[in-house]
Amino acid sequence: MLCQLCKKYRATVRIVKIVGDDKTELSICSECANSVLGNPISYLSFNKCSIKDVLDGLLNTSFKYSDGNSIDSLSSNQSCPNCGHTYQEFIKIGKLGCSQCYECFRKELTPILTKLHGHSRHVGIVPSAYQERYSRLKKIKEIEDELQQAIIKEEYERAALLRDKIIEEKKRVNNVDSK
Amino acid sequence: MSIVSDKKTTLIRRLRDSTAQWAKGDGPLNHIVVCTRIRLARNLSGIPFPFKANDEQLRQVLIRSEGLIKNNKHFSSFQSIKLSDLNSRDIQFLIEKRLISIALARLTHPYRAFIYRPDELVSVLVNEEDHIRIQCLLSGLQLKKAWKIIRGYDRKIVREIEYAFDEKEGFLTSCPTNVGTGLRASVMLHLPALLISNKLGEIMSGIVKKGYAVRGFYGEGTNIQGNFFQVSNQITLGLTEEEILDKFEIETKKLIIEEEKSREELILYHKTKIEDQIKRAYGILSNAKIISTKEATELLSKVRFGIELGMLTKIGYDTINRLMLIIQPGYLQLLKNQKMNKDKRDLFRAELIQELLPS
Repeated sequence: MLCQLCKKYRATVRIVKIVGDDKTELSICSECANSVLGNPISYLSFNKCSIKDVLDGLLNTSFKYSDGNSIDSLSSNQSCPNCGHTYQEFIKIGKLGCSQCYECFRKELTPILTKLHGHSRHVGIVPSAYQERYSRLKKIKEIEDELQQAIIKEEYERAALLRDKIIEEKKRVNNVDSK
Repeated sequence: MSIVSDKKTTLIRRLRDSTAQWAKGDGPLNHIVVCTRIRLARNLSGIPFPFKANDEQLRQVLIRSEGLIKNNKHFSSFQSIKLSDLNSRDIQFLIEKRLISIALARLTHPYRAFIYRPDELVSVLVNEEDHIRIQCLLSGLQLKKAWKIIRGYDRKIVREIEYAFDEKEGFLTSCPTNVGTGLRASVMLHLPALLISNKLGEIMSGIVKKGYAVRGFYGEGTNIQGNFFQVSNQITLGLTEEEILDKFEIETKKLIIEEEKSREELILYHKTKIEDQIKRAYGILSNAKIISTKEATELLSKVRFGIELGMLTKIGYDTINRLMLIIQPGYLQLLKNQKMNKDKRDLFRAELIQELLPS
C-alpha cells in the first residue's frame, strides 16, 4: 500500500487515533511518520470524512439505493458516453471526467453525495441562463403531458396545436442554450 | 530577455514587494482570525474536467479565461501569469504567498495560469482540478464581504462563460466533494491559548463532526505550525451559499469565544509565564544569527500572541504577516534573487527578521 500522505513510498507505519468514540486510521511511510509524529497536533488527527474515506468504504461495504437494492460497485463497468471515464476509475481516483459523468453515474453517485454532504440536491444559486432554460423545459413537459391526453381523447386538432407549441418552446430552449 | 519573460519578471517582482489586502491584518476580530478565504469551483460547459481534457481543450479554457481580461471591463486591471513561464522558485513563491495552490503547482500541463487583481484581493486559478477556481482573501473574519465580492465576479464571468451546471447537482465539479455550490470558505485562526490549555483536540474533533475540516497554515496537505489552524466547510451541496456561510460564521465565532476564554484564564493564572515566553521569543528573533523556518514560525506565533494580548505594542499584525510570508524558502530566495542552500537561507532569514522587527 502506498503512503496515504505523499503517495510516493510504501506505507510502513499505521497510525490509529482514538478520540472518544471516533477512530481514525492512517497508513504512511516512515518519512511522513517522522513529520507527523514530530508535530504535536497534526491535521491528520481531525479530518476523517474525505472522498477517499467514502470511496474506500464503498469498496468494502455496499451502499443502498433508495429502493433498497445494493450497489455492487466493483461489478459496475459503466462508462461515460461523453468522456469515456469509467465508474471504476472514479472509485479509484475520486474524480469525475466531465459534466455528463454526473448524469451517467447518477444512480451510484446519489448515495455517495448523501454520505459526503448529507444531501444530494443543489439548493443554491442557479445561473440566470439556466433559470430561463429550466422554466421552459418544465413548460415543455407540461405541454407534452397535455398532448398525450389530447391524443388519448382523439382531439387531433388540439394535439396539432400543442405539437406546434412544443416545437416553438424547444426552439426557445435552444436559443437560451446558445446564448 | 524576451518581452514575455521581461513582463513576467516585472509582475513577480511587484508581487514580491506588495502586501496583499489580507496581510495588512486590519480586519474584524484580527486578534484571533488572520484571514478569510472563499473560493468557488467552476467548470466550463461542454469541456471535460482538466484531468480528462486534451491539450486543445485545456488551451481553450485558458484562452477563454484570459479573454475575460480583454473583453470584460471588470477584469481589465487583472494580470495573467502562465505557470509554464515561471521557474520552480517563482512557483514556490506564489504558493508561499497564498496566491496559487500546491495542487496547481504539482500539475505539469502547459495551460495552467493564475489571473489576479493587482491588489491580490481576487484571483482565478485556471486548469487546476476544475477549469476555474475564483478566490477572494480578506483580512480578519469577513465571510459576508468576501462572498459579496466573489459573487460579483462570478456573475460577471457567467456573462462571458457558460458554466457546467445541472439542476440536481448544481455547479458540476471534478471532485464530488465540491459539487453543488462549489463554495469552500476557510478561516485562518491563531489559537495558542486553546493549545496551551490542552483543549484544542476536543474542540477541533467537535468541529470536524459538524462537517468542517481543520488544516495547517498552507491549507490542504500541510501540517500545523505556529498555532495556526485553517478551518473550512466540507459540505457544499444541499445548503444555499448563505446557509453555508451563516453556519460557518456561527462555528467560527464559537471557536473565537473558546480561545478568548482560554486567554483570560491564562492571563489570570499564568500572566508572568506567558509574558516571559512572548518576550523571550521576541528576544531570540531580534538576536539570532541562524534560524530555521520552523523555529521562526513558532517564535512569530508567540510574538503575535503578544500583540493579541497587548503585551507587545511596537509591532503590528502587518509586520507579523509579512514576516510569516517572507521567511519561507521560496520567498527568501526571491528576495535575495539567488538560489540558496539551507544554511544560507537560515542566515538570511535571521537577517531579514531583524530588519523588519522594531528594536
